[in-house]
Amino acid sequence: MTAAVALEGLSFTYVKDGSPAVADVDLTVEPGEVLAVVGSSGSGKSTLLRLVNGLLRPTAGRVHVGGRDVTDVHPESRPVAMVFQGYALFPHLDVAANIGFGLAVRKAARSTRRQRVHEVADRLGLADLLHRMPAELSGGERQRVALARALLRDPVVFCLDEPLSALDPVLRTAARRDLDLLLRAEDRCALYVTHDQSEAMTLGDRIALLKDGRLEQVGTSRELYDDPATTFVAAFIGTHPMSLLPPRAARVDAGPGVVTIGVRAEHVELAPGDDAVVTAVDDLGHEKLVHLAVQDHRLVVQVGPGPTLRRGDQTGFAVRRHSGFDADGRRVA
Amino acid sequence: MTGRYQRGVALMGLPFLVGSVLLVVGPVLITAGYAFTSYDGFTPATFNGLGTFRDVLADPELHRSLRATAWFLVLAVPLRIVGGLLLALLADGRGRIAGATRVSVFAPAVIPDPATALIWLWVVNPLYGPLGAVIRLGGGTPGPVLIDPWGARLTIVALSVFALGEGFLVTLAARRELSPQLYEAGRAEGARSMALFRRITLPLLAPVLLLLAARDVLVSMTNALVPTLLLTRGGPLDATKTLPLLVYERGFREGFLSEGAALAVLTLLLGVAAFALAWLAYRGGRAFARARDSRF
Repeated sequence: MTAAVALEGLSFTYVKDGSPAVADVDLTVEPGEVLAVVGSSGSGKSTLLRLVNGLLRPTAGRVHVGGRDVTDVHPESRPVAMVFQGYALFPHLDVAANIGFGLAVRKAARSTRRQRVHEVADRLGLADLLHRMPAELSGGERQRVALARALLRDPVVFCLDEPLSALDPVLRTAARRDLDLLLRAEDRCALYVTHDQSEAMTLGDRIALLKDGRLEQVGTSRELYDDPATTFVAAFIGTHPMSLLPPRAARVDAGPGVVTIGVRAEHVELAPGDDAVVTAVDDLGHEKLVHLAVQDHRLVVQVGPGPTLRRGDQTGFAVRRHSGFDADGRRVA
Repeated sequence: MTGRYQRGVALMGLPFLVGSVLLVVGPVLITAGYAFTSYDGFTPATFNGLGTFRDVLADPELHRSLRATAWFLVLAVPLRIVGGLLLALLADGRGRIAGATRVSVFAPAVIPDPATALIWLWVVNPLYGPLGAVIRLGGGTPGPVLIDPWGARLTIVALSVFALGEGFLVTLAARRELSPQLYEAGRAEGARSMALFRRITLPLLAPVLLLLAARDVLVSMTNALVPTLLLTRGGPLDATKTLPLLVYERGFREGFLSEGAALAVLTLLLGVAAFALAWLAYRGGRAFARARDSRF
């Protein structure tokens, strides 16, 4: 089966001779797959989306969508639909006209327009809102209008640019579930850009982590969580990032070439001893996170709700599992 | 807290309120009062009912003035609004050229009216002005522009179009408020530059443009005095004798103060009516656009 989206050596530089916003990215998305592209701001993830949907032309590399090379194809002729951050609904047009904007631009017959708009509006539960203006909609309704506008294009791939960031936290969880259901129900592939690693982990079948326009790692959330390819990934993925410290401080025999080890909070436990000092305790209810100072390094330990430790207490610890990184921050063990 | 805040606002607004009552509302009321009298400034005013209005309305000079004003509005207001819009779209870039464009477009608006009038006297002078030079270059013979009714009208219009800086600035500011993402969304849906302009820029700027036009109509009707006075004195054949100029001549040069007042009242009423029409046109246009866009 051909990949739904295949990017080959894709690069983009905004200013001539400037540093690239996207550098030499190779990436494939399989049909039906949701690939979460995650990175901090300025990492090139929004630029990557705009290269896929054609708003930007790459300075090097090719873009294939649905088995076709679309590098030189205008955005409206690509089988790609975009949902923008903040949704970019046209404030002067009602819901129906927003959804049918592309058809109106392409001068489709009114009967076609009406039929297609009603079709997607029904699918997204917008049938009663067709004559509302965007300003009269809730955040969740706006998201559905943006999705309907995207769905109307019958795309091979959805490009979603931070689709949940415009919603307040209470709505976000529900909207995230709706979005997940919709993407699964439509069985289309999606490139989902977010800066929020937990969003990426719950929505993405796989995660692509970008840093300075380059791919740090592509894999399932489990792979990125358990076996980060670099110290950057180790520190980025997970609600509690990996603790990074030298093997000697952690009293781990890490093997040759390893200068840093990464330890998940759940892979280390407290033990009798006095080589670490408690600097803080976060009580999260079902678990506690104990922050230790080991020599000059930080180590976070997850413990059950039981033991009572206070700041300044001395304790020992034992690392059960770790990843090893070389001097360049790359995983070697 | 809010009560105190509102009292503070009222207190700070007070000087403005007093100023507008003394300097605007008062004179308007006094003027309106004189319009119902017969008054020459030397002998006491006598009540004349609607007599002064009857005289003024029957005066053929008023009819010529209305025509001159109408021509001026019909030509100048659209040119100023469309020109301001086009220049705002052109100058909406970053970089040195766009910056220089913005300054040069706005600059004429801060030149005082008398100076502008003098510049234009020179521009259209057939002997040593640039217009004459251009005509001679093209092989023609330049004639005097300002003694031809249409030459005079167009010169006044051109002068007012060059001072479109304020409208330009407002349009530019409104244009910059439009989210770049709307244009990305439009382009992603297949809109090219003309469609983006027609379907996104224009409808979203329409409220601003129509408000500017309504204001421009009002200001042009009631305020466009100095350039016409200095350039053409309303001539030739009253072709450029706009309403404010007629008010000035009747009231101050010829000393018929009550007739000037009646004309001023008429001008103000017409200006407000034109403003209201422009606003109604805007409301109607918006309702129409909304009905059209949602026929699905």
